[in-house]
Amino acid sequence: MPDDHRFRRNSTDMSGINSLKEVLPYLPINLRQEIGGIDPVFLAQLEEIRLRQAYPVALRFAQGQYYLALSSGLTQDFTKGRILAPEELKQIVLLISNSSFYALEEELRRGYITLAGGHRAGLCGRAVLENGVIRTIKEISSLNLRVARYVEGNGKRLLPYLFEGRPLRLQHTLIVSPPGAGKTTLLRDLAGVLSGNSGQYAYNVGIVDERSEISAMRNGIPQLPLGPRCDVLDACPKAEGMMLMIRSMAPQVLICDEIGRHEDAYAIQEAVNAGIIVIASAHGGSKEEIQQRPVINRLLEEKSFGRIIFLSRRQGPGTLEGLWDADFEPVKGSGEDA
Amino acid sequence: MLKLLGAFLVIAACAAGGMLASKSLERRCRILRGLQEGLLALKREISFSNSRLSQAMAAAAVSAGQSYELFQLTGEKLTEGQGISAGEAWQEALKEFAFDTVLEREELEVLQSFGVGLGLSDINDQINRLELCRQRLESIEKNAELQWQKLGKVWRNLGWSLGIVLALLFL
Repeated sequence: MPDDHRFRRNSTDMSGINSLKEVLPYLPINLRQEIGGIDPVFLAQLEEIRLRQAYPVALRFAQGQYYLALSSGLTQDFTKGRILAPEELKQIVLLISNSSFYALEEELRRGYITLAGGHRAGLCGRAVLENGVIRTIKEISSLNLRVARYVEGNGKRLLPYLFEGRPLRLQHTLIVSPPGAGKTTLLRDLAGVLSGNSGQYAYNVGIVDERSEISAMRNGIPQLPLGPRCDVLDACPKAEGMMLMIRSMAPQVLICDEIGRHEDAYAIQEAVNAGIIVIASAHGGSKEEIQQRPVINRLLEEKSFGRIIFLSRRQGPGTLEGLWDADFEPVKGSGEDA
Repeated sequence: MLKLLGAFLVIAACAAGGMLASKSLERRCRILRGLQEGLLALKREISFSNSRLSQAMAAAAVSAGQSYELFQLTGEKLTEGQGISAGEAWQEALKEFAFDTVLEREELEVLQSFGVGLGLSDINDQINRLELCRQRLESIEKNAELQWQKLGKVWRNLGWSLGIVLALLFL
């Protein structure tokens, strides 16, 4: 076991353990037992299980990446890691597809499969093309099981700072962070709080969930808790989805993940002009980085967003690095957990 | 009196034996038809509903007549299975199903080869495999039907005749 102070021994997160319990059945029994045998304090903070054929099983925690040790526990030395046998990878594919690989073509085209509980299996292998478009992925070579965790509270604490003016009005908000720093989690949390799961707000929230990450829909049921006034348009391209949502569900707040294309910017402008509050996210490590992205920069220059939230993984996913207004003036001091 | 009773029992036993042999030929035809119906339902579930095999097998069981058990057992094994592949579930179910049916080696081999790779390839391949298996069973069923028409009556009559001959010998 790594003696790492970053794993806080006094804070075993039971929700983390429960989430992991939903993921473990997708692994072969021996691997399940080996991972299950790790100290629960570590397991509660497990974010990803990376499974590569003939390579050590890698476990990614909020605090860093380790390998499952050959003996037991964790190691940072990959030569001492426990190798994943090709048969084991095949078995995992069987388990996540419920022995029905053919039924997953749509998911394989997107490169990931949403599992019960909102967890996600990303896949790599050989792409099979049809008319220049990916039809499916075969000869799976690696898998990334991402443990979904509903983190409550971030949005509720942050939300008061997203209001401005007299009377107070919710501002269009852009959440920016590098991958894995908590953008989607914050979006989901904001959707829940705004749509009334805490009883404080009562907005009709429309979620355009192109990558099924915000709500993790499975058979029409969100696998991650949203609020009572949320409508989800699942697996729909963002720009098209936003327009569809505006026409069909008349949301007061529109939420979408990872904007960046020209048509996204157009759809956001349409929503803004229709009086709908837009809360969106975008990849970016700093103010300078997002300003180099033409579409995002245009939206920022037009002051489309009244609030810009910067997140990082500095103190774990969801670390608030900055909360700024449309002129990039700080609304709240940085450095606190979002 | 006792002799007459004995003769009657011999005739009845031989006739029942002949009837059973005839019925088993008929039953084989029905099972083969049921298997084809089940495979057709499976194909529908896979191609139109894109159902997972556990659900598709349950739906196929409803259409499979006397062969429902094979599909039902496979579906159950997949639902409760801990890392069991669809092929393994099919083979296990086939063993249990074949134990109390009149299936012959010919159709058992077709069904066993169908189980290999079940659920593991893309939709087109799965449908092709289903169709191939169904066609092979169809051709086996045609032969089984001919056999039943030819031998069914023979077995029945042979049973009676043998019983009468034996009874006459005993008398």
